[in-house]
Amino acid sequence: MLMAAVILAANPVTGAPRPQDREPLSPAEVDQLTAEVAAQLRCPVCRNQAVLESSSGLARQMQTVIREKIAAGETPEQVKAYFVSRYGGWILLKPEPRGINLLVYLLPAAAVLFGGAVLFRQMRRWTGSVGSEEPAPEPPDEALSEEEEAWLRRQIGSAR
Amino acid sequence: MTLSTLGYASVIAALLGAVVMAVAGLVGGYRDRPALRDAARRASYFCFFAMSSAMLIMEIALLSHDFSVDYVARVGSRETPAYYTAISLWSSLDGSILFWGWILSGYAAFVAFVRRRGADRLTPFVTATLGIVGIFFFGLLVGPANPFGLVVPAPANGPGPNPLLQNHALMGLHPPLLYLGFVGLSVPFAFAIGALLSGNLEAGWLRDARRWMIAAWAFLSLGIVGGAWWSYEVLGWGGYWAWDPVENASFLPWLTATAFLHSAMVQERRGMLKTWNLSLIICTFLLTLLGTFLTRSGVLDSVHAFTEGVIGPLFLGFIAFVTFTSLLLIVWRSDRLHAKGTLDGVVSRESAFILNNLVFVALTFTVLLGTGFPLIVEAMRSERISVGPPYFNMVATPLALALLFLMGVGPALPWRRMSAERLRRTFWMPTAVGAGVSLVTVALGVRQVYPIITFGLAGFVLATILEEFRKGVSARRRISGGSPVRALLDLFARNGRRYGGYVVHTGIVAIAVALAISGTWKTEREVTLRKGEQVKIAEYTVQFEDVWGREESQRFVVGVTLKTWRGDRYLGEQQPRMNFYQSSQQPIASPAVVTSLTKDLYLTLMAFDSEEREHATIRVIVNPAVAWLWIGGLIVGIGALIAIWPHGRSTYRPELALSLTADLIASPDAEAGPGTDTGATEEEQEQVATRGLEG
Amino acid sequence: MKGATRWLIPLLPVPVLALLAFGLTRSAQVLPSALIGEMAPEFTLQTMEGDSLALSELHGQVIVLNFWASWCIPCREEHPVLARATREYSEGDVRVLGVLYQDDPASAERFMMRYGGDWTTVLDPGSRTAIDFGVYGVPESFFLDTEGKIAHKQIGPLTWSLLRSTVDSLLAASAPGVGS
Repeated sequence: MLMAAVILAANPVTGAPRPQDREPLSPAEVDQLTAEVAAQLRCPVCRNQAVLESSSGLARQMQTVIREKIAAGETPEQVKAYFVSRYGGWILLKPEPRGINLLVYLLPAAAVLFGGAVLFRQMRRWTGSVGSEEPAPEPPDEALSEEEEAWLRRQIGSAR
Repeated sequence: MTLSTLGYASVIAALLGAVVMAVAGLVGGYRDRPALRDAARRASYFCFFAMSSAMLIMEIALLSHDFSVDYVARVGSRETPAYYTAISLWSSLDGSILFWGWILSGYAAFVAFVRRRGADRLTPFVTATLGIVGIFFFGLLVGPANPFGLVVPAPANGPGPNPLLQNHALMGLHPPLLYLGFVGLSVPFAFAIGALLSGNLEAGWLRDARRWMIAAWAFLSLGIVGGAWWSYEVLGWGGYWAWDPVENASFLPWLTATAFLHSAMVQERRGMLKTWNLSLIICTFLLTLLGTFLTRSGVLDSVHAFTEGVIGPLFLGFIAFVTFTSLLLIVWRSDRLHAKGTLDGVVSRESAFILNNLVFVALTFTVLLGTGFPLIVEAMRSERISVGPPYFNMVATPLALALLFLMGVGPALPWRRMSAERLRRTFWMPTAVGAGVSLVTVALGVRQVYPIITFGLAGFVLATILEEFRKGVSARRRISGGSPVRALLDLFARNGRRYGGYVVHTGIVAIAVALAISGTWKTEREVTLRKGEQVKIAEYTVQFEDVWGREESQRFVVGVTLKTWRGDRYLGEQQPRMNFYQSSQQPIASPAVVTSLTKDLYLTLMAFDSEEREHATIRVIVNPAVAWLWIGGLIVGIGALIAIWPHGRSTYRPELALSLTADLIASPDAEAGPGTDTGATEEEQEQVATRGLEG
Repeated sequence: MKGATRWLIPLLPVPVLALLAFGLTRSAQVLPSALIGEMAPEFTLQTMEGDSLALSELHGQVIVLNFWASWCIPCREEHPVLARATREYSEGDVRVLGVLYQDDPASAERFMMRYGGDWTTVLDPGSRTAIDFGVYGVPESFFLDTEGKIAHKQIGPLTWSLLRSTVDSLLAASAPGVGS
């Protein structure tokens, strides 16, 4: 059932043409797609490394499998779905955005919005209390006017 | 007396010392008894002495291969070179806790020593808090994480430390820095709890806490950059940051500490955000504990996870204790935490800092959520998922860019408020620079959105920083004359916090640009070469010469010799290797890296033909701008050093007072005025502000 | 916050702490298999003796499919358990089948000579079968029911009690007249 959903998601009705209808990929394209997929799969025998980055035997062989599947015309989504069917969602370094996994994508945005809203209210409360008063005069831009500077120089001179 | 007994006795002595620190500090603080306060202080010296001897004994045991000591039997081996034996102190859990405890006792003694003369009520509570933290860590060493257990009969040899940790000399560098940072964060925490306990929540404690925070923050920053460097030079995967739980564990407290360093200024200036600042300090400390818990208890799968039975629950218990106690204290003191000040204008430095805090906290939340999310999913759905670099890069980049933007805005805004007219005058130049940089980037053919934005923002930030320096230098020269260089040094000496901060910002800009470039334009290829065969990638040429093997005392090394050129320039022979350790199934790769300011050539041996020795598979990566990460890290460290460097001349100086008084005459709003550009020390500004208002 | 409610604030972090406590109750290293209840992926592989063997030839028996390697230390630990299984269950009911993982046949042969045992091990060049089964490392064992469905997966060394109870329940489920 789950598998079916994954495959459906990978191959939407209107989506990509079926593998056999497509032009064969050039070797460079195969390389690129292989690297793309391998960067998103977690190496099972390593700790927190992508298949692409690992020199372990299993990761190397997984890359071979990816390459063969890509060369045989499978889409990156189909290849990823194959690995998910064998290893579960654990194999994906970026969780599929569905079900409970949506939370990991939505909560940060929600946090920014919520924090922003709280802050906005608080800012209005903080600034509101002085809003009714006369605005304080704008501080001058230059450190000192020429007159003041001359005065200051005299003072410093006498202080020394 | 065996080393085992001596070491264990030292740890027990330290535990007793910590108990005295806690009890004498608390009672001495409440009852205001000088004798007890002195006792707490001396106990912290004693603790440091006891922990130092425990450390020393462990080092002696390690270096003399005394396998009757449990820890040595587990991480030592006669084949391991002396350097790696010495640093294997932090290669396993109980050794790390010993090291942690030693640094903690050092900080506690240092704090007590620096504040030995004052008769304030804060110090005994600070010592007491550090004593309570000490009780936990020394208690671990006495109980479940005792590294000094006696092994009878002593084995003749041990397995040696974890291969990953004895593969590169850098392993001696970043863990101590990280520990100095991590443990150093306990000090501001102790100040926060001390202030809550003493009930004096005015700004005095905050100023001290902030100073300690900068020091710890600087160590932590260097530790994080050093860790990235280690990851790059040692692990051989071609990157420097993998969003591994242990990396996140060091990054999370860094984020909240950075937020605090900014929001503390709002409290110092405006008497606002008191509860917020306390919460940030406490969160920072809790995040250090949480990070250690997550990575060291086997809860999350991590490169550095050691699964140890009892430690996990004890850590969790301590986290719960700290959380509840801190929150109860804040609630108890909530009547003293009301804001005195208000915001005068929405467009002001205060607002920029508050926004900065929003983004920092959002980033902290995101990284924490991503790190812990597999656990949440497992708890709710009992299925396992991973959250890795592709996720973190996606969510963290926009927030990081927002921070970069605020970094340019904040320093250029005055305190309190600013008119639209002045806003235009201040920002047209930096904005023009930023926009110009972005346009040039696009004109050069770059179409990726993030680099374009990053470069533009970097230009914007650098322009505001340079403008700040220009204003500061010219103001100083008006006052005391002298060369621009002399004026610049004077700025650093007199207002190190501010101008050191700008130096830190410059380092961060360098890091941001380096991240954008190396993340976008990394080229890599994996090639299998026969002897004499060449491959060209970018402007580099790599030629495969030979496969070789070599027996070393603790490992077997297989390497390839490669000749390398950049364009026509010969870069010499490079030897990426694979190291085979007895205790590890997987070989540990040692990449060969040719670094330059613009690009690194990064070579990793992936596979070799063990029979014929005719061919080998090599991963060739051309990594642009990575050197700037390390340079940026160094600049950050220098800036932090400037910021905490004690400025000797905090005495009242009449000429500056006059200059500032003149400002006050010109404007009743001294803080918002250009007085801040004279580079006067904070103390001077404050003295003057007080006098000016009185006058 | 006013009055008594503010004293409830310290309770806010309780869910987070509970989550962390939950984290301590399970092992991060043990992963459930995505294949439980699915048909085992079919393979035809060479045995160490050089014969060809298809998994489907063995259907009708309970299969203990054991991924192992001679360099794997826990595999030495569980070896006697597998040996005992071949002795105590009759062929025809239960079949132990090894799959060699990331290892060369010569050292695997030496391993079998040294530790004993005469069950079949097939070679898996390129780890294709291991990947098909979603293997993380060795040792890992899959228990297949008589129809060839994966009923259980064990990560890490097998113990005799675990092997016996799993195999017995699979045998009982397939026995005619029971569990219809």
